[in-house]
Amino acid sequence: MLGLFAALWCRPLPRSGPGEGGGSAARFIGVAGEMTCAVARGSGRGPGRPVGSEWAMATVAELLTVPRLAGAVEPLIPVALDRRVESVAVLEDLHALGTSPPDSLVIVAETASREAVGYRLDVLLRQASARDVAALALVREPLPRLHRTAAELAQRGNLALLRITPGIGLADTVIAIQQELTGGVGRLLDRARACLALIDEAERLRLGPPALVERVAEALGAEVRLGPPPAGRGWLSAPVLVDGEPGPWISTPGDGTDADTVRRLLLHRLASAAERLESARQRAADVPVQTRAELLTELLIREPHASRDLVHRARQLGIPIDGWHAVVRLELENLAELRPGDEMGAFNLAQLAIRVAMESARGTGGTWNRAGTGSTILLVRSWQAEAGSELQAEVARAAELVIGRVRARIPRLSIRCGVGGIHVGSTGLRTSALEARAAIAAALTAGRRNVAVRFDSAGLRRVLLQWYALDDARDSVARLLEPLDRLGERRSREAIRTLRAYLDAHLSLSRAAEMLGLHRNTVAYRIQRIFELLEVDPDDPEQCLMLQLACRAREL
Amino acid sequence: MTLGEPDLEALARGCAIFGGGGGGDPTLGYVMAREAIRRGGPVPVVDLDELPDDGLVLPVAMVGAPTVIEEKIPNGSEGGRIQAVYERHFGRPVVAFAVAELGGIEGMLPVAWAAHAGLPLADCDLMGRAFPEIHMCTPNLHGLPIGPVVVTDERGNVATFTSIDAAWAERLVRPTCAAMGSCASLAIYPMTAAQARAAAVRGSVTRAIRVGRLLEAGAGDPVAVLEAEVGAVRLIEGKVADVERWTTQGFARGNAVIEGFGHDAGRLLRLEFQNENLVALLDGEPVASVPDVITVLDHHGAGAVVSERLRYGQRVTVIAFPCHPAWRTAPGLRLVGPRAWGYDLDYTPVERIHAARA
Repeated sequence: MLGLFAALWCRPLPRSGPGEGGGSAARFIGVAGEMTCAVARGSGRGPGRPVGSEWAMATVAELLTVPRLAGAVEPLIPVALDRRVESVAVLEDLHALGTSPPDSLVIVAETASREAVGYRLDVLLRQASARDVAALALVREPLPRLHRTAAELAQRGNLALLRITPGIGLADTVIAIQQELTGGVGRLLDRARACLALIDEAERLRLGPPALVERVAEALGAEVRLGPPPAGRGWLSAPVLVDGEPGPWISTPGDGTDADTVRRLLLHRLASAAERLESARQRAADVPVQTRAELLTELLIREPHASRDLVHRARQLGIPIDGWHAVVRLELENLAELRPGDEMGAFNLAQLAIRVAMESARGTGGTWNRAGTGSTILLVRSWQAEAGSELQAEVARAAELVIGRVRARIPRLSIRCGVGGIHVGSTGLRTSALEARAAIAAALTAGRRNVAVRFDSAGLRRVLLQWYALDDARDSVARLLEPLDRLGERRSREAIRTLRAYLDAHLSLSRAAEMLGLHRNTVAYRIQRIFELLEVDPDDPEQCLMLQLACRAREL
Repeated sequence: MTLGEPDLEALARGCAIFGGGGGGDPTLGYVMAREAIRRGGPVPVVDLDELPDDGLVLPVAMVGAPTVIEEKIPNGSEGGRIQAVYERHFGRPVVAFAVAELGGIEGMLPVAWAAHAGLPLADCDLMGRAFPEIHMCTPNLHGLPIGPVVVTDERGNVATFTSIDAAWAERLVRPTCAAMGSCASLAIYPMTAAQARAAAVRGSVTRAIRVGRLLEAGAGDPVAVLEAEVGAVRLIEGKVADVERWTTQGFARGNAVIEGFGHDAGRLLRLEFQNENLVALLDGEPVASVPDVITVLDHHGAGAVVSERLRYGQRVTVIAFPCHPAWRTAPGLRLVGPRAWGYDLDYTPVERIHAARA
């Protein structure tokens, strides 16, 4: 005698369009081999199939991804996974297969599955193939191996042979599959529920947004994109805000039905999770950057003689402080104008500019660190080995790129940019920072915005001319060089020439001697004398820069 | 007729055909029978009508796993020991030995023991084929007692069982056989010639010899020969693609997969066996089952391949032919039909399946 569920099978009605009660589904259920029809329909391929309607269906592979069954159903052999399934049936008696409809997924109940071994499985597979069943699912523990005949019969019959883990509720399994086959809001809600659980899990595990989106797409059984909102109609999108600004969008295709409401809610939940995950990722990535930035900022502010411990810490933090450095200084001019009366907004904008600037600089390759406060960003390019002056052009190109990227992200932002020369050690770092600042001063004088101004000889000459034209500047230079002027014209000119060579050689006596064609000791003697007369601290880059500017201005 | 050394090969070949994959490899029995005949002379094969009505006929056989018999060989004294026990028990002499089951070594050993004893061999057996269990004999269908059953081994151990029925005898003998090393010699259904005329399958020995000779002569297609002689049908020609075999509870159980070639290309035959071949399924559809005889023939030599000799890569032809009519009765099917072996299949005579498929 056949059991209660000897043959229970459910087929969804054709999907109906919006406005026709879409999403509701009737099914007909056969029990014990007799069919009790709620709504009788022909088989999907028979003459009774309604013309112009579309059966809700899924492939076997799609059914394997049903969230409630995830991990509990697996193919025993990778065959016929692309077959379309129209209905689901439960088989409690191996002899009752004759009532299973074509294109159905037949779940062999646990007791019957235990019997479906050896030749019985062969017989079952043959009968299922003869009835054009799409898939047979056995409820059983993993098999050590599938017998050759069973594998061949499944393959020849284009029949998917699946395994369902024992213990998973049979009724739940049938309902989950039936919902999947029914389609509409029921299916979507089921999948959306799984997606929400997945998003919670992803937040707990701190997955990146791309991984999260990929998993959600799989659980949703639909395409989900992360990027610009897709062109074309029918897409639903939600923005991911990063630092309060719109970043990428998360999009999925809609179908114009009530189900889109569920999709929208899910997209917004997904977008807010992605925002939190991205912010967390950036914060985590910023921690070491922030630490280095604070240290470099302090190093550039503090007096040189008081910065020995900072240099030591910089080494510990992996900053190549003893190497060669070039500083790019960016000053964000109009943050307040862009966010009038919104200090927080202006702050967020500055943070965004800092992040984009740093990412852009690093994108050009090499070692970059940042420093600066408020609306001033200092990007420090460092080299372990001696870097030639030709690399300054490379740094300037990187600075141009940075300006372009930042302004692409914050279009009306006005930026002044100065690029310092390449100098060695912590003193060289300060020197380059000062040069960058000086370059910005020149840019300011010349009214140049949104371009990188280099502190090199060509640029400096223009800067100096503009600067030296000012009375205050001429007085400053005269006061600074007065002790040398007192030596007389010839000796004064010689002292200034020696001093300039020494400063241009980044305080290298050997290179200065080479430039002047003198013995190193001669230069050393002269420099010692000059600094005694000038009462300038050679370790103070600010004073040195001023001195260097004065020497050059005097030669104009 | 008189069974001499020249007839042994034909008998061995015929026994292998009727053995349906069981009964063990006849080679060992052939060698033992040949030696016995060389010592004791040819063995008269007598029709049951030639024996006195009350003459004691002793059907004998080996019991156990064929895989073991190949390594644990009888020493030839077993028949005499069994004969002595029965003659003491019944108080009269045994007039003839008989073959208990017509298959492989089982059809040959009684020849050896008859030659040793100087007794004739009755032209009959109790199955018309081979079955793995001792109560699966036609006298069981006639209500004859199976006992006393005498079991002995090559060491000289002897056990005698008087059971309430045949099934109990099987239940008692099997563990004893296991204790004796999963292989022993025995006699069952001791009966008078008059009882044997009604209850045994008559003419088995001479039929086996005739079939063996026809196949030996190489008269064309062996399947055609068997079709004419025993009503055989061809199930598949193919290559053994897989064999699973395990020895348990004194039986060699398993299954083999034969992958068709030639006009059977693309087909798969699954052969289930328990010593004997029990069920054949072609592409998942039963095409032959017990009690009909399913035999695997070597594709080149036309000799039968016993189940324990099935090997991957062998080229074979699988045939099936009708069993003795006694097995197709309701009591016969209850005893040896597919369900008696645990198969969830109804028996359909092989010739009817074949006709329906044609």
